Amino acid sequence: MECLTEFTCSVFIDGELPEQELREVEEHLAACPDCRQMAAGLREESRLLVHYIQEIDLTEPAQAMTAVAAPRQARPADVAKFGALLVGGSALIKLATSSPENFVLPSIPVNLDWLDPSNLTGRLNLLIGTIVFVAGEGVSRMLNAASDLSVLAMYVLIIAGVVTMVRRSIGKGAMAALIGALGAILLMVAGSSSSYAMDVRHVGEHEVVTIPAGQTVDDSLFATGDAVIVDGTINGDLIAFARQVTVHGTVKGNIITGAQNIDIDGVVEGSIIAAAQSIQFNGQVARNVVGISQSVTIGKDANVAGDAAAFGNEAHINGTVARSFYGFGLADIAGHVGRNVVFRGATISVYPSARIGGDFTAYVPDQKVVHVEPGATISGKQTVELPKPGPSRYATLKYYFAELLYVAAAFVTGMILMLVFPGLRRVGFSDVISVLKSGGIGFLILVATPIAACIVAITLIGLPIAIVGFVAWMLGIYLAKIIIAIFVGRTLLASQTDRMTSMALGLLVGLALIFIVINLPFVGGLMHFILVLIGLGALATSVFKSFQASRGFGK
Amino acid sequence: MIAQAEAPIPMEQDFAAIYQEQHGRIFRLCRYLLNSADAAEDAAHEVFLRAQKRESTYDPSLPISSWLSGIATNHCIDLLRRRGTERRVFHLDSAEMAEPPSRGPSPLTEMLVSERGNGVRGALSRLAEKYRVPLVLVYYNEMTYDEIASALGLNRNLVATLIFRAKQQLRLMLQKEKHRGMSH
Repeated sequence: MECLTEFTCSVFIDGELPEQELREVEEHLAACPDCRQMAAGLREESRLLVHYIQEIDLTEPAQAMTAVAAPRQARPADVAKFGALLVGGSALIKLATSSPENFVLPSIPVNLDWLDPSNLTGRLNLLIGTIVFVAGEGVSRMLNAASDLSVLAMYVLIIAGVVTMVRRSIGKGAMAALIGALGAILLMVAGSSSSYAMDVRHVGEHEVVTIPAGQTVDDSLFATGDAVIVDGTINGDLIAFARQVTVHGTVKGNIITGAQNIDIDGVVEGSIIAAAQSIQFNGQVARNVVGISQSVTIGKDANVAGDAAAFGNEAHINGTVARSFYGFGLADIAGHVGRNVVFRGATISVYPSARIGGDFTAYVPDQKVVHVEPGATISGKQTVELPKPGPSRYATLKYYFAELLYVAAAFVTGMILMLVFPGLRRVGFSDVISVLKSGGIGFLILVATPIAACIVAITLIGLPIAIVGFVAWMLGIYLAKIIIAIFVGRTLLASQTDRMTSMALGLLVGLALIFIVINLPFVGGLMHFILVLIGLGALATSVFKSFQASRGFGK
Repeated sequence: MIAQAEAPIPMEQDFAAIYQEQHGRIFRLCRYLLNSADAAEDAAHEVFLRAQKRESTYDPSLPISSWLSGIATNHCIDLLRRRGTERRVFHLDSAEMAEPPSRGPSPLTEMLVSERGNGVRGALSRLAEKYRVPLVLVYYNEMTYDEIASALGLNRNLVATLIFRAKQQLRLMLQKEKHRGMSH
C-alpha cells in the first residue's frame, strides 16, 4: 500500500474509517515510520482541539450568569416583555396604518402630545397640561415617591461606584466598614438636605395653600395643591405648582410656577418664569418675565422693569415692558415697550396706543400678517423678514455637506461603540416579534424618560439625576439609528466576524441605507421615527443585558 | 468536563437539578453552533423547555447529557437553516466534494500547545458555518460522522471532507495570527 494521505489519516484518527480500510491502514502504519509520525501529530492535534473546545471559558461573563440561573418559568421580566410587545405592536400597527399626511404620533396619549416635534403650540400646551396634571393630581404622593427614589438611587450609585473601585483592593471586612461609614455620611447629608432653607407645603389635591395678608414667609416657599394664593409676603422665591396660582402680595425673590391659570398682580422683586394655560399679569416685576403659555396677558397696570418673552399661542401686551419684548406665536401690542420688539410667528398687530422705543422686527411667513395701525409709534427701524423661498434643500450643496458630516460622525461613533462595547456588535433581531418588542421598549423609553425626568427634577434633590437621565435619553435617541445601521450592515453582508474591515464596511453600508430610507419622500419621517424606536429598544435591551451579565459575573 | 458516564437520572427527579448541571454545557454547545452568546442563551432556554415537554422520548439507558445535546443540536441546526443561510451553509460546490489535497499546512501540535484556549476558540468562531458546525459536532459533542451526516442531511464522505477542511482552515488562521504576533 502507498503512503496514507493526510485526509485518510485524519479520518483514521477520528476512528471513522470503514473496517476494510481500517485494517489496511493499520498494517501500513506498522510498516511505515513516516505515516506513523503523521498519525501521531494528527492525534495530538485532535486531542488538543477537543481540550480547548470543551474547556470552560472563564472569561465569558455569560457563563457565570447562566450557571446560577434556575429554569425559567414565567419571570416578571417575561410579563414586562409581553406588555412591551403589546404596546409596541399596537403602536407600530397604528403607525403603519395611518397615512403620512396626518401623521401626528397617533398613539401618544393626549398628555404627551408635546413630544410631537412638528407641533410647537401643541407641544407647549400639553407640556403645560402635563405639569398641571402632575401638580393637580396627587402631586404630593409622586413627590414623595420621587424624592425617596432619587435619594435611594443616589445611595446606590455612589455605593456601587465606590465598591466597584475598591473591591479588588480591600478585604470583605474593610468593605463592610466602608459601606457602613458611607451610608452613615449619606444619611446625615440626606437628613440635612431635606431641611434646606425652604418652606415646603403640600396639601391634598382639593385643598388650597394660602399665605394670608400680613403673614410673612422668611424662606423660599415650595407649594403644591389645588390652588396657591399668596396675599402676604415671601422673602425668598416662590415655587408653586397647582391648578390656580394667584399672587396679590409681595415676592422678594423669583416666581417659578406651573399651573392652569396664573394671576399675578402683586409685586415681584425678581423674575417670573411661568408655564400655564393662561397667564394674567398685572403687577410690578423688577426683572424679567418669561411666559410659556397658551395665552399670556401683560395687563394695563403691569410694569415689567426688564425683558418680557412669551412663547405660546397668543401674547397681549397692554401694559409696560421697560426693555425688550420677544414674542413667539401670535402677539398684539397696545402698551409700551421701552426697547425692541422681536417677533417670530403667525400674526402680529400693533395698535394705535402702542409705543415702541426701539426697533420692530418680525419674522413672519407673509407681509400681510403684520398689522401696524396708524397712530402707533415705532422709534427705531421697522423690519419684516420673510422666509427666503430658497431652492429645495436637496438641491443645495450645503445640505449634502451637512449630511455627509453627519454620516461621518455617526460612522466614527459607531466604530467606537463597537470597539468599546463588543456586545453591541451582536445586537440582532431573530424575528419579527423581537423587532416589535424592541419597538415597544423604545417607545416606552421615548415617552417615559422625559416624564420621569420632569418628576424627579421638581423635587430639586433629583435635579442632577434628572439631567443625567435626560442627557442619556438624548444620547440614546442619537445612537439608536447607529445601532440599527450596525445591525442592517451586518445582516446584509452576512458577516459574523469581528474583523475591523468587515465591521467598518457593514456600518458604512447600514448608515448609507438608513440615510436613504429616512430621506424618502412622504414616508421618510415615519421610517425615521420607527427606526429610532427600534434602535432605542435594542440599545436599552443590550445595555440591560450587559448590566445583567456583569452583575451575574460578580457573584 | 462533565462526565459522560453519569448514572441515568429518573425524570421525576427535580428538573432544576438537571438544569443546574447541564445548562452550562448546552449553552456552550449552542454558542459554538450559533456563534452568538445572545442567540445561544435563548436557544439553551428553548432546549430545556423542549426537554421538559418531551420527557417521554428520553431513553433512561443513555446518559441524559447526550439526550439534551441531541435536542440542542437539532434545535441549533434548525435555527441555522432558518437564518436563511442554509444554502450557503450546507450547499457545497463540486470542488468541495473532491478529496482534499494533503498539501495543506501540517498539524499544529506545537502551536496549539503554546496557544491559549481563547485563541483557538476565537479562530473557531471565525470559521465559516459549513466548517464550524461539523467540527463542533465532532469535537465538542463527540458525535460520529454518521450521526453528523444524518443531523445535517449530508452524506458521510462529505462530512469527513468538511471536518478535514475545517481543521486545515483552523491551522491556517492560527498560523497567520502567529505570524502577525511575531511581526509586532
